[in-house]
Amino acid sequence: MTRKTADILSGLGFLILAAAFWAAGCDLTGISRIFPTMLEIFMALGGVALVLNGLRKGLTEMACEGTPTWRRIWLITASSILYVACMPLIGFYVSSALFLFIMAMVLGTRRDLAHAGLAAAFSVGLCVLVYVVFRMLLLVPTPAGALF
Amino acid sequence: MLDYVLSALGHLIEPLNILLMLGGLTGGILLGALPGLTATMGVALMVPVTFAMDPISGLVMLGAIYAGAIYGGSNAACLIRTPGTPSSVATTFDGFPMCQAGKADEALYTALLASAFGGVVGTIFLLFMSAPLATFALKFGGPEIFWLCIFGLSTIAVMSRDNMLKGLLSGAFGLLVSTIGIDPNSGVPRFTCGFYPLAQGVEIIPAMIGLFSFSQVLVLLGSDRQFIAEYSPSKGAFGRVARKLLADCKVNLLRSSVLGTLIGMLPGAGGEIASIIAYNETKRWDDNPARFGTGVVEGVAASESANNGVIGGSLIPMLTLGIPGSAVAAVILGALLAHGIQPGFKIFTETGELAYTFILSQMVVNILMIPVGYLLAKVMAKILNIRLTLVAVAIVTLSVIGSYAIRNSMLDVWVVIVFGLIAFFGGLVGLDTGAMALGIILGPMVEENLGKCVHLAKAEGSLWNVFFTSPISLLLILFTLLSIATPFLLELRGKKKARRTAACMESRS
Repeated sequence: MTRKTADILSGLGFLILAAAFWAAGCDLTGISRIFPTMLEIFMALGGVALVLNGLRKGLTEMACEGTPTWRRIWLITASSILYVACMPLIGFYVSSALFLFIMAMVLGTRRDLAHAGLAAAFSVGLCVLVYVVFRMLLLVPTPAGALF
Repeated sequence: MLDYVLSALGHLIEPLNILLMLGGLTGGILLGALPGLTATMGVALMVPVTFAMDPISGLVMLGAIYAGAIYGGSNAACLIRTPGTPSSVATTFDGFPMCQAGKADEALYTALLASAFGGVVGTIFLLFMSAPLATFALKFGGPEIFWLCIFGLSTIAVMSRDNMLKGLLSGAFGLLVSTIGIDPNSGVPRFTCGFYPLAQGVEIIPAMIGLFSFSQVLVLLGSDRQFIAEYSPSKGAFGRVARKLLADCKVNLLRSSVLGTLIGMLPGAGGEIASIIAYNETKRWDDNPARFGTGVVEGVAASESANNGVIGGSLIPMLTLGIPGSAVAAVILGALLAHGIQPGFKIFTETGELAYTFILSQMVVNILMIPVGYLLAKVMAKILNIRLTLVAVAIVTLSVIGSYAIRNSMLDVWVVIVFGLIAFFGGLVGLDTGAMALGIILGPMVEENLGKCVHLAKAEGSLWNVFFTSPISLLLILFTLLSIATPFLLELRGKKKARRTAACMESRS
């Protein structure tokens, strides 16, 4: 990504965030409003400055470690969202075991039976470990659902 | 005092107490290494256990868990860029890059030795300077704490030297996020959009897990790596780190530990603030600040010595005034009261044996931390030999359960995902995650104390008198101005140096 694009995108992002907070807090009054308003104004002005800065800049590349593998990024993001959304429905342990097993299979390089066995052992093992440490030893509740 | 110290030493060599210290340390380190499980939770869980014990043994164990958990957070911070406790946020800045450079063992040993050093310094202050420091801490009212927070925020200027505007805006966004929920001054809910759970606000730990841990999962899975980092334990790493710390980091360790102790004394200001301030002070005064964040021993040493220095600091007002300097100190205070021990200056005379045993146990705990932490670090570093895909999905699951465990709310789990995405995509356009984290951590304190100042100003009829007349406030304002000016001054110095070198080269040729 070029610095020009990065500055413009980040500037627009700050402008949108400032506007969103402004809209969400427009009914606030008195002391509750002072601090957030100061920040919203600062973010809006800063956002404008970043956009203008970006428009003036040349197309110099930003330093980065290489092109990320977007397929894996979208995959883990989407599956994490699905995992968290399913958790209150089917429970932490079942959703975690499924998430861990499926992701270990999908993200892994091999698809054979041995790998499936390893993925299953890994997912069940981690869930058992979490159950023992959180539920049994520390008595910390985990999200409950219809299954477990 | 000497009588009490001698009898305290007698208690500390009792096998049961040694066992409790070792057990507390081990449990604390493991607890601290797990994201979401904090020192406060660990100590609070063990308080009922102490009721069946002699108060001295119970307190010794609680102190060991406290010290172990604060150090334990650094293990996850270095190995998987997940701050095990909020205090280890700054440790991720250099600890994880060290790990990625194949120096995981050096990062872990640096954190271990620096933590032990910081803990010992904090205990020395607790032992010898309790009374004057507690009186000093009492002078910190709303305006002073407000300026301390502003000083903390000014470190963004050092943190984001490459792009200060983006750093400042990231910090402002963090501050704005911290305003979500009930307003600390008027009790009015803000930015909740009618969603009731948001009235509790955005909890710091899930936000940190999202910013540092979930975003890192995305970064790691987006790379072509097979493992988080190449790791092969190098022989003599522990000795090398010890020699490096002794030779090059004496001033850094001492400064960071003292800073940690002093900040720890202030109610509400904990290890997370101390470690970030200490990290930035070390970076500011270094000859080459640009190397920080790339994996330098000094960064890890500053952060870890400061957050363990906080322990001694937070116990000073707790023991002498009955005012806890941190959440864990508040739990320990509860344990003291439950055992019928009244904190206050009389604790050193009426229950001197207990007080001195507790204080000296902290010294022993910090020394025992070195062998215990060394063995555990060797085991924990093995995580780097597990395939990246398995570690990454395990981090997601642990982040989920760790964030849920804080207050049993699914909102916190969503906070992890949302902040992870913000940090990942924000990172692509050059936003500063550290500054964002600093804003979220300091935001509630800034606003609460700003509100106090405004109320005070209304009562006194002068804003100027409240904000700008106390000597401590003036000193903190001076530090803040210096902090903001330092990057510019350092840049000027660098330019001058470069010009002088160029002139020398010219005259030689």
